Amino acid sequence: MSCNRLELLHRLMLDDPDVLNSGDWKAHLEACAECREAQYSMDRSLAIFLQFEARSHAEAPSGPDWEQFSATLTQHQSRRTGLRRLRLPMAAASVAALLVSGWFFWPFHSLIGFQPEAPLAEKAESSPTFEARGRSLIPVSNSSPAGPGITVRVLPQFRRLVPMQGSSSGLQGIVTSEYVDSEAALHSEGTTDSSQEADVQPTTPRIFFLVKGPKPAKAPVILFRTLKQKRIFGLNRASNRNPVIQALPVFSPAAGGSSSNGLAGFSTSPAP
Amino acid sequence: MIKKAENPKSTVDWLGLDDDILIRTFLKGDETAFEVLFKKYRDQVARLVYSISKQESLVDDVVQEVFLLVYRHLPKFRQQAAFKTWIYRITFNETLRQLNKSKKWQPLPEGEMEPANVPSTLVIFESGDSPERVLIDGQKQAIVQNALKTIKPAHRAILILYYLEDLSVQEIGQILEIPEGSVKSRLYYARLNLKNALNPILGPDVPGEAMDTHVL
Repeated sequence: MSCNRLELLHRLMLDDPDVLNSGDWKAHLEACAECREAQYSMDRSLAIFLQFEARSHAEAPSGPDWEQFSATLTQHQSRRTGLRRLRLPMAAASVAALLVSGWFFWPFHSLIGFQPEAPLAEKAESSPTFEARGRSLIPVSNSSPAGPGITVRVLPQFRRLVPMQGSSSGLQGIVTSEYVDSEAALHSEGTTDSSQEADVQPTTPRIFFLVKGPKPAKAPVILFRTLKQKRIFGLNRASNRNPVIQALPVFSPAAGGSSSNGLAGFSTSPAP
Repeated sequence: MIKKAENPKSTVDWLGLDDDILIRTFLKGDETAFEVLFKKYRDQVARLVYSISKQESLVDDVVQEVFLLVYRHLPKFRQQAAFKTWIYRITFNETLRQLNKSKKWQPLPEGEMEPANVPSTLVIFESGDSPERVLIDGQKQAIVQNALKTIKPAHRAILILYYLEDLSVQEIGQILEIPEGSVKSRLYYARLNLKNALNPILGPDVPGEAMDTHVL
């Protein structure tokens, strides 16, 4: 039968680790052999533990000396300083890498008016090409005093714009022609599409273009894209809000005619 | 490089200075104060590491790591607790971290796969062997040491901090980052654990005169 004070002992020890030294508890031990035995075994195990520990404390290694630690500290500090110094160049290099990769994989070069000609030229040489002439569907400024036979001057930065199809077709051409707005010019190129003629107002000049590029899978709708809207001369307000100006290729010298929907024919021969 | 004061005193002269003064001096840029702190606490830190881990090979690495951490974080030390308590906390955490790390890579030697050879040792001890007698007998020592190795490092640490380092329950609470009640409870369970580990090899208890010699 176990002594209920033994449970008490456990509880008391949770509150006060030194309860074993209390007078009350000592008085109880005089009478209770079970508790005496329990306490004795706890004391004995603790005493043995502490004596072993005291001895192992005396034998414990003392750790590195100051010179050794000082060398480690210096090494550690220089490594940390080096890492801190590397942080800025690493960040700069990362940004540069991002910019370089962005330059090739995202066509933001078109935003700053740069035309990467070499890759396009390579592409044009390696694949069948086409040429197309066309005019913009959206006329340039209504307030422009242009009329039939009057030349509209397109600023050089607009001339450099890359005509775009949907990105899936991969059509990219280069606007190479001088742009003149002239109904006479349109007719003289041999366009016979009456619906387009009906759309054309004599006082609303349009942009004419010549595009050369790799042959697309199907007849393209060419889009001029720019974000430098403010610098595009002569476009009306609606067009200014939308940087994409749609244009239809209407004539191809290589094919020598136009299709029924007003799109240009395509030449599979290398561009001249 | 480690900066020294322009007119360096011998660190021996500094050893008597309070930790607070040494810390303030170090924070003003005098590295000699840190050297003094290192020399003052190195042995204590090493002892604690060894007591908890029981691995000599860990001591140098952990002591270096502890003082590197102290060096780096001393500017953030807010002196809400004593420096000794703070450095012990770092030591305790770092030792347990290193122990866990080494456990992942070092399997126990075959001989130590089982805690202790309990049944075969029962006969070695006579009833009521006193702690002193156990300590004198080399063979018994080895057996007891094996049994003591089975005690968890956390329990070992709390017993050492309370009984050998003589820290208060409050200070131990700060070191282990636990409430005082938890310290008492862990202390109790550590003692119970100790008794359970040693009793099978120490034989039956014969209180006799031991009543007067208990260590508490």
